[in-house]
Amino acid sequence: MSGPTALAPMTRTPGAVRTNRAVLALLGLLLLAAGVLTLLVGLRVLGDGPADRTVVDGAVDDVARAGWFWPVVGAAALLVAALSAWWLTVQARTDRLVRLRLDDDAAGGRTLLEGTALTRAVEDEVADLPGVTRATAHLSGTPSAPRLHLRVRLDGRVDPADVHRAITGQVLVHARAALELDRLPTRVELDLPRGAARALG
Amino acid sequence: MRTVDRVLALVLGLVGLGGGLLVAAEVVHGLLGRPGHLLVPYGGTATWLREHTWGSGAVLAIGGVLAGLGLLLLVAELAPRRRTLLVVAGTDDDVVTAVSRTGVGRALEQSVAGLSGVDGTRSSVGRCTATLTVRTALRDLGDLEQQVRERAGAALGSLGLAQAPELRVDLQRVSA
Repeated sequence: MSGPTALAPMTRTPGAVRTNRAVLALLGLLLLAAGVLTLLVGLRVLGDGPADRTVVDGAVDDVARAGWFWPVVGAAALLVAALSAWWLTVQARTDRLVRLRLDDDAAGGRTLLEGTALTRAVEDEVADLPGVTRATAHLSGTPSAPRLHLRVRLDGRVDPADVHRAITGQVLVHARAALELDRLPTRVELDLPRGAARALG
Repeated sequence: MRTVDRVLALVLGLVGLGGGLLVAAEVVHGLLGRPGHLLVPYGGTATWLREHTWGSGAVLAIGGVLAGLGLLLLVAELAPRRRTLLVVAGTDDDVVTAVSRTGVGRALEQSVAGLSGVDGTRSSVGRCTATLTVRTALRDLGDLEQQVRERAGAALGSLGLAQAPELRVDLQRVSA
């Protein structure tokens, strides 16, 4: 088998995860730069002069009195507010695919299927497998090239490898047939609950 | 870390949105020539900044805190995320099945839970090694270690992992 042997847990908001990481790293860099600069000035690494000046002195007042200063500060504040609003909206953005395109034939028109129709059918079929207590599914990708994500909670009485085989050889075959797709890239996360009895050995 | 990031994003996003709008409102208030402040009493802060030099202890302390927080945030965000799921071997390239490391640990613990002489278990699963710690009050261990190793090995094998971690068994004697 090729591919990774270990993975990070899946998320329904991959965009938010990436954005949060990038923005927080940038904020960390800015904080670090501001802190280091303050320490360099205060500890006289950059010379004796600046360390003995007050943080806001006459030179700063002169700049603040310039006509352009406060409008620029106001515009920067609005930019910060706008970027913050964008950051907040990113948190609610999921990769969930709402509709699937079943038929892309120009002559035959377009057939769309609600994503929940497929995910509910898959959830029900997986939940009926031996050893499964609960299954949740969602779709991502594009309407013509969907990806299926499955989270399956096991009861611990059946080997996870058997559940994996049943999902691959039975449930996903049905899903592909229903969608008339040759490929349906799927990620399955199996969850073994604490305290379940395993009939092994 | 994702949850911490999410909480930080919500808090900092709200602070940035509110703070940005407040500062913009204060600037407009000032540019219109109105006296005093609108909502933010910044007079005290301005006075404090005019009274303290860059070399004063308070300013240095603030600089140190900023640098420390920034470094912490930067390291936390740049560190590679832990891959907490182990992939199950499969024949279909379009299907990736994975089980959590804690799930693997639970499977190992449960496989030996019914053995006579086993009083408690603990597990720790990494990408390369899975350590199963078994506590027992038996004076004579007999073949307990062998049984634990066989059962846990069978449980690990039954998971069908693409790259199963090496099993280590640690028997710990406890007083009865």
